Amino acid sequence: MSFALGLLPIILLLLGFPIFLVLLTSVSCALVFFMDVPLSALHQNLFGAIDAYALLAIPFFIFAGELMGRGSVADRLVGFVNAGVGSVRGSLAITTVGSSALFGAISGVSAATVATIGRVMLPALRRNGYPEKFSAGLLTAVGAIDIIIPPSIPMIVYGAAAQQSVPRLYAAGVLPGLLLAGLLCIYVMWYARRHKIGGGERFSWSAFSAAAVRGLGALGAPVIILGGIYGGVFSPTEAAAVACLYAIVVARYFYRELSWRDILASAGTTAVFTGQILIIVACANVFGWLLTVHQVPADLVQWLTEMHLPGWTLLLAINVLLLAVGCFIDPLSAILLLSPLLVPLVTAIGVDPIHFGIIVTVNLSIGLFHPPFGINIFVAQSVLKLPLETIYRGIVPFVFIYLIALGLITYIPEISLLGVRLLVN
Amino acid sequence: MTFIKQEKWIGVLRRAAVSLELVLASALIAAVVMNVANIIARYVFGRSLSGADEWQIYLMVALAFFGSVVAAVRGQHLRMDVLNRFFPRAVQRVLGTVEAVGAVVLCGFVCVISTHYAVRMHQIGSVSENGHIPMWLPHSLVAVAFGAMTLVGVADLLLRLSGSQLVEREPAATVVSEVAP
Repeated sequence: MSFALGLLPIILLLLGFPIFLVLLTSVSCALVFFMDVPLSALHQNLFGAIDAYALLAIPFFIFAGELMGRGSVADRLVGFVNAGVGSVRGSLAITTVGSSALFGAISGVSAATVATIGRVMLPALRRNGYPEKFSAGLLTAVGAIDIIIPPSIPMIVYGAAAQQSVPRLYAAGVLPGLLLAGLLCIYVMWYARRHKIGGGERFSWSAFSAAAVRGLGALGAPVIILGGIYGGVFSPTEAAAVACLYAIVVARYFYRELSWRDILASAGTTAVFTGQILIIVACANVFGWLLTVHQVPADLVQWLTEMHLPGWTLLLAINVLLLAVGCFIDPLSAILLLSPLLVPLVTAIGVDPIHFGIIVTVNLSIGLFHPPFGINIFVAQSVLKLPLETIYRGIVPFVFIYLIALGLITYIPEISLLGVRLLVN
Repeated sequence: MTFIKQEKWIGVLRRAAVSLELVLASALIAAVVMNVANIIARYVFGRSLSGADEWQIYLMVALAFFGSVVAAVRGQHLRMDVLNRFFPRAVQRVLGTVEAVGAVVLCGFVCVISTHYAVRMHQIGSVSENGHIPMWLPHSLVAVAFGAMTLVGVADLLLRLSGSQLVEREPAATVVSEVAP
């Protein structure tokens, strides 16, 4: 059995087989050769995983982000943030961080942020004398904030895998996302001062108001999503559906940028992306069920309890594991594969599963832009036409900033849980 | 299979994927409309649309499993291909064939099990709680989608055996030259 559920999936994963097929091979082997349960359990678990209303938020949020990313929304958000930042040293880099955080509050897909914000900001950063290495690193790394700031697709998947409330996870993600954005802003200001890079235009209320009016349509989306959820008006799934409708109205009628054909194309892209993700959710559910049936998480908890490890050591070990896994596997697959094992472990040592959800998300967000294989690196390379070597060298300081934020978020639970108390309780 | 025939079959599969994507796009938009209509009904008329949640969930089931069929045709399924991309061409080709065989066997296996389950649902006449949707319908979506993935696997296998393949992967040499300083 340990071959079917342990060794076999690892070998197949390393050989590069599709993740859903790896999981399906593993569970089929276990069911056919090692277990005496009706095979219909396979179908029941596959179907049961997707038969969940909360998961509808995944295609809806992806669709809303797709629609918003196709028009001039990024341009308008950048204009708004830039007008607000004023003439601070490094203002353009701060604008990049702020716009990405704001775009993250609309879209839940990190690569989309890198492509959308990057297209707008890279030429401006070049014009203002920022070194190419710095711009490449900043644009590639900053998109990862997207999955920490709600709405976040990985948090929905974690919520489903660990049976935790998505609104609580979203509330817990707000402060860590802002902390990360704050640390990035401090670093870019220091960098700009050190390299004598100037600021933008002086802040003026008239320019700021004009930018706010121009970006009103785009700025409305996060207000509707977060205001709707925490105002008790919508569930996260309903907020996602309203965000889709809002994005269609804004892009089609307010900005007049998308045709119905574009909207259908966005829906098509979303549908295929949903298929890629949810098939893994379905197969991972069967895998998780088999692990539970064989008491693997319970045995693991008992083993670790007997080792009497201090909590901080265990969290450190889990962080190292997640960072390593995040470098090679996409965040959603990693969450689905590891949550059934890790959540019982950390709850046994008293870590709040909501806090742990944020730790997992921040860890895996680093994997999105961590050399050598973070997906954002390849997005920056293909969409922004940046050389891979420049990106790799540029990313290094940003990895350290994310690691500092990860340390703070891991060992100060209040950073995550304060948001839950303020917004949900 | 001659080269022209291979191209023809690949073209047929890709066109079928585009059509399926269009249907799924419409299903997604329908789910959004249903969800918003439900919110409006709740706040304006003080009652929810009966069965709307169930219809949305089953549309998502269709998106999940049939979206996966489109991803299979286009070779877009998520995988950890860090090592695979650096394998020699011959090894990649062998692994590709093993993958196609695996897809046929496993997807076929799930298709059979899911078909049995859907048939049983039909026989007992099970319906959903609110929308009274016959449950064999959503369950058969899984069977049909895995059946379609089995066919995609068979097509890929046949193409591979005749020296072609559905999706060409990026050659390792490109990756190496990009990573090298």
